[in-house]
Amino acid sequence: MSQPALLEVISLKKHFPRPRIGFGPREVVRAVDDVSFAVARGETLSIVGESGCGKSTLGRTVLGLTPPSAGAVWFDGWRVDGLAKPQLRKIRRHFQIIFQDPMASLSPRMRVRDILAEPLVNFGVVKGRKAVDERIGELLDMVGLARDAAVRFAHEFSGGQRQRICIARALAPEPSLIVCDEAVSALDVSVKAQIVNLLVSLQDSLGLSLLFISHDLAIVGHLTHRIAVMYLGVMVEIGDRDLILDRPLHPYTRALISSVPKTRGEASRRIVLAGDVPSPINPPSGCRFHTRCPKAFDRCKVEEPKLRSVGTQRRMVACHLDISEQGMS
Amino acid sequence: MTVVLEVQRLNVSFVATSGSVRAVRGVSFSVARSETLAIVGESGSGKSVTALSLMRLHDAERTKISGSVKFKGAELLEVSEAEMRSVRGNEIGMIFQEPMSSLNPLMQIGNQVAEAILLHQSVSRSEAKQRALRLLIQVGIADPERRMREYPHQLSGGMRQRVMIAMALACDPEILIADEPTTALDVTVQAQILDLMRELKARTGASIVIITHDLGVVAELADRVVIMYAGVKMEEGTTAEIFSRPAHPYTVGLLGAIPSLDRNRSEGPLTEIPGQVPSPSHARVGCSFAARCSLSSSICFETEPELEDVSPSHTAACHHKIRTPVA
Repeated sequence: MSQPALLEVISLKKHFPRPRIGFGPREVVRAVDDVSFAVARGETLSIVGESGCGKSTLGRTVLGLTPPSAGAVWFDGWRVDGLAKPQLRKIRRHFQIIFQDPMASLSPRMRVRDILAEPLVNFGVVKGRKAVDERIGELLDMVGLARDAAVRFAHEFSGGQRQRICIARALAPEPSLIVCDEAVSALDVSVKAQIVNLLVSLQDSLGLSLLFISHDLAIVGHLTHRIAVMYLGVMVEIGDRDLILDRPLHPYTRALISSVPKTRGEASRRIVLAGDVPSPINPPSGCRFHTRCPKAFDRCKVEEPKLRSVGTQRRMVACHLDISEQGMS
Repeated sequence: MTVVLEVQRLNVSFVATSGSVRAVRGVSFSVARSETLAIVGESGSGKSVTALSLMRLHDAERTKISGSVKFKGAELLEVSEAEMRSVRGNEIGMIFQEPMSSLNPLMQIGNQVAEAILLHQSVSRSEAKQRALRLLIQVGIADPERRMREYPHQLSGGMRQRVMIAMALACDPEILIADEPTTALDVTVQAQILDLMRELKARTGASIVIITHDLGVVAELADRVVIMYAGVKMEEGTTAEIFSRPAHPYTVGLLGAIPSLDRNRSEGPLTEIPGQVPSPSHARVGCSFAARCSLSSSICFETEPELEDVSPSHTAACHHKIRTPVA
C-alpha cells in the first residue's frame, strides 16, 4: 500500500480466562491469537469464518469495546489500544459499529430523533437544536428513510428499516471506519439486498472504510475489496477478493468456498470437511486446522505456520504446504 | 409417479385477540415418491406454518385449518389424534431448524433415538438400542457407542442435527419434512448435512419436503420448488424452470437479490425488491405482491391472480407473467 493505512492491527491477541475449576491450571479461551492486518481508506476488508473463529471478538477488540490482551491497534496515526477512557471517547467518533440485531441495539424507549441526536450532541458534531434536526433529516435521507421517521419508535419499523436507523446512527458522527458485525445476516433475502446496496453506495459517496464481519461468503464476495479468512482465532489467508474467491490457496479457504451452495452454473466439486471446529480453549498444536485438513502432514502437527506472501504481495497464506499461485492439485 | 402426499386448498388461520391472522391461504401441492420438494419463502410467507399443518402440530384451539391433506389415501386433517400419532414420526418424519430445542436435554442420545423406535414398533428395549446405534452410524456420528450415553449439550450443532435426522429416519418414513434443517449451521457443516440428506434419500427412497429461505440449498437438493409469499403460493415448477425461466416477478426479484461468488460490486448493485414483506394480519385485495412489484398495474390491486400454467410442470399466479423462451 502506497498511502498509510487508516487502520493497522499488529499481533492482536484477546484471551478470555475461564473460572478456575479444581486445582488444575487456569484455562484460557484464545479467541483471537496473534492477528495482524491493515485497512486502507475507502476500502472494505471482510473477515470471514465460521462461528467461534473469533471474528466478532476481533471487531470488538479493534474498536476498544473490550481491551486487547496483547498487540497494538493504530488508527489514523494514533495508537488506540490501551487509551484512557476520555481519550478513547474523543477518538471513538471516527470509528463506529453496526450490529446484527437492530432491535437489540436500538433503545425501545427512544424516538428515532433522539437515537440519532445522541451521537451528534455527544461528540459535538453540530450545535443547536435546529442544526441537529437539520442533520438528522440529512441522515434519514442518506439511508433512505422518510423524514417523518424521526418521531417514531424503533418497534414501529420492520427489520430492514431498523437496520437503516442503525446505519444512520453509525454515520451521525461522520466516522471514517465502520465495523459491520453480521450487519445483514438477520435480514430476509429481498431486504438484505437493499441494505447491501445501501452500504456500497454510502461507502462510495463518503469514502468510508468498512470492516465487514460475516459468515456469508456470497454477500462478502459481492461487496468487498479484500478478504481475511479466520479459523480458531488465527488468520489463515488474507488477500484481494478475486485472489481469495477465484483461486483460494489455504485448504480451509478452499473447503469454505466450496461449501457455499451455488444457484448458478455447475455445482463445483465440493470439499466436505470431516468433523467440527475444535474448541478454542485447547486449540490443536501446530497448525490449528490440521485435525480437519485433508492435506495435513507431520510438520503441521508440531509447527504453527506463519502468514507468508505467495506469488504476489496481495495475498498471504499460513500453510506449510508447497503452494503456488497456480494452486494445488 | 405415485403421489404420496397431496395438499389441496390448505388454509391456516390463527385466532388472536386482535382478530384472526390468515397465515396460509389456499395452498395446494403434491409430493411424489422419492421426490424432493422445496417450499421457499421469506419470513412470514407461511412456509413453516404449512409444514406444521401437515403434521397437525398446531394448537387446535387457536388454529383453524381447512382444506385437505391426503397421505396415502387417508385424510390427515380428519383422522383421530391416535391415528395421527401413528403417522407422526413413523410414516412422516420431521426435522427442525434448531436441534437443541427439539432434543430432550435430560435424556441420553441413545435413549432418545430408541424411544422413537419403541413408540412405533413392537421390539424389545435392547433391540431398539441396537437399531439406534446402527442409525447413528448411518448418519455419520463418530464414536457412536460413546455418543449414545451422552446428552445433547455435549454434542456440537452439526452432530445434534445428525441425531435429529437419525430419529426422523428411525421408522423408515415415507416422507421426511425438514424445516430449515441447515439454517442454524455453519457452511462447512451445512455442506455435510446436505450431503447426508442426499445420500439417505438415494438409499431409502423417501420423499423429502424441505422448507427453506436459502435458494442455494434449493438448487442443490430439490427436484421441484414451490415459491410462497405472504401465505400464498406464487409459483411452482421444476428446479430448472424456477432458476432459468422464472415466470413470477417475485421469483425473478428473489433470484436477483442473492449475491453470488462470481459477481462483484463493479458489476452493479443487487436487484432490490422495494418495501417490506407485508404483515399477515393485514387484509388485502388483489395480489399480495402488487405493492412491491415493478410490473403491477391496476388489475393487480383489484383481483387476486389465479395460478395458471406456464408449462405442464410450471404454474404461476400473476397477471403479468414473464415468459422466457426455452433456450
